Amino acid sequence: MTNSSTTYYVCLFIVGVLLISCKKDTLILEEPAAYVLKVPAGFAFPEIPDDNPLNAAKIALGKKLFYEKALSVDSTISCGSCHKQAFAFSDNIAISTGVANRTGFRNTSSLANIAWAPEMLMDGGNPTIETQVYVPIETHFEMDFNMVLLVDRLSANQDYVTEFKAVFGKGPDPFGITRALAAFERTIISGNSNYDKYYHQGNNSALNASEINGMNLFFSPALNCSGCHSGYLFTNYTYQNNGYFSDYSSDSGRARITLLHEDAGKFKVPSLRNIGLTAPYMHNGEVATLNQIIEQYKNGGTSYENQSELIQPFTLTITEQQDLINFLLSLTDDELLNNSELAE
Amino acid sequence: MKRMHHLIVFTAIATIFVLSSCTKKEGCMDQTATNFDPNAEADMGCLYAEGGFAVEFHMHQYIGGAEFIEETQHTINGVATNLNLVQFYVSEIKLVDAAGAETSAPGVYLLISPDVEEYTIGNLPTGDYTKIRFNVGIDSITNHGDPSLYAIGNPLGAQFPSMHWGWSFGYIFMRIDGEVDSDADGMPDPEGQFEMHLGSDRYLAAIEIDYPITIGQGNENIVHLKVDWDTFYTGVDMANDNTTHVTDNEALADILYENTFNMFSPEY
Repeated sequence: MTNSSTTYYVCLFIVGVLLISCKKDTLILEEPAAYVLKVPAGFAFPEIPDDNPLNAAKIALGKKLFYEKALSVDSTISCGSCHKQAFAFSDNIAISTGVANRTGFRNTSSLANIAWAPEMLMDGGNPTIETQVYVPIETHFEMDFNMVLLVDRLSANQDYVTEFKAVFGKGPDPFGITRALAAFERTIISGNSNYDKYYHQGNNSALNASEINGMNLFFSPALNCSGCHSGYLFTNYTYQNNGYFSDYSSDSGRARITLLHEDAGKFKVPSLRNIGLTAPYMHNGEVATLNQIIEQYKNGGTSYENQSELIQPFTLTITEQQDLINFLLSLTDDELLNNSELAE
Repeated sequence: MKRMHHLIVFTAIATIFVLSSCTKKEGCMDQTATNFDPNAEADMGCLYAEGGFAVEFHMHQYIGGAEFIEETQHTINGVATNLNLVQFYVSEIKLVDAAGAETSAPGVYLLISPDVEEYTIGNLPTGDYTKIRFNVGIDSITNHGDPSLYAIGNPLGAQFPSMHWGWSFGYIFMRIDGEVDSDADGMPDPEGQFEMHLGSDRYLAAIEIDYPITIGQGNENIVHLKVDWDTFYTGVDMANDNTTHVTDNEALADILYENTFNMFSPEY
């Protein structure tokens, strides 16, 4: 081999090694196929943020993170530890348990149909699903971890590094973590209850006579339940005090965010979908049964100073009250509970 | 031989090209520059306003008449106290001339801690100034923006310990974590743990200080400020009423907020 040919091959080798070793952190990705949400009949299509378009790989990564216990400081709990599919992605105890058996002060909300919620948390203190991700991760009595440390932890896991790069073109970071989790949560959709089959899908036999009577009572001007629990989501997402309690000093609700006295005791109107699965009820989980709530509404509430004017006394026969409860139970969506795409 | 010479030159150029493109996301990482990129991971290509001089902010922090050092014991209002974490945001820094005209350092957000004294606030025009204005905290729009849009390491990005409240969605303008003596043995202890976390738009403190300074060639171009933590704790019952996250103790938050206006002074 001559000197010139040796130099030739050395040069080619150097260029080759450089090209192979050039491992960029940010990859240029092909545009993935968009994932189209399976929106139930009667539902509008939810707004999807421009910076978080849905695709299957991102949703899959979000699901993995949702059930990932490494999101908590001691790797003992995941999002799914409190938002359980069997209870419509809520919990069946008054206050869920965080790390080190710590407890907060609010009942776990259902994540079903969170894609349509205009604001997050019972008091609306957080604006989007993406930004809400910080709350459980960093709250002392929930996961008690930290976003910076979580990025470090996930970055030490080669599987996550590979998956984040495939979805976002870079390794784990706060943007990817929040976007992936939010993408998965937007797929937690519930709209195939017997009520939906009756009202939105034209199946006249999906509700029985008692449930239909209960539905008519629910929407009647006398009860006016739908004054707040309105539309296909059974909530108008306003902040109201429903007069169930007379003292809100331990949790001022919306006032915790606005610092306004007139907002004390107000909480976001919850959806009633799957309410048969989400007991116990109210912001603190102190109410065990739907009967207890209806009794309080029949009395017109406690007349707490910020109580909604829509809470007015009414009467029901025993049969009517059971019909109303039967209608509420018809809002349970078994398909949500058995959806393998959402399961751990 | 000439062909071989071309190959060597090509290899050299390819080496430079490949190495330069192997870097992380490139951009300007200096938030005082006009083309600052909050997501940049490799610093290059900063542009600065013409005709100015780099101005620095020096924060000299004191407590009990001595330099303030975190995680050391101090006596505050008669109570033995350890301040384990003390951080606050400074933003919207402006120099003001005698006619009242403001010259600002837009887009600069500083996360101030006792162990860092020097902060760059950017290029500001030559001139004689009489006052300095800045906010302790973060303007409303930025305060309610998404911290995930900033890279880790940016003052507005995720921090450890966190400087952001998820539950009320905004930055913690000032975070003080510490311990006081809870068992009267003269030593701070874990049972005396406290947190003073100030945030939310209402607690944005707009500070104005008389501070004559000439920015220009040959001058120091440094604003020296004294941060007096004794003033910050004026009127605070350190032993019995020492924790606030604003909404859980507005009265204490209000005291600390009012004291914020008096804790900064020129240090020449």
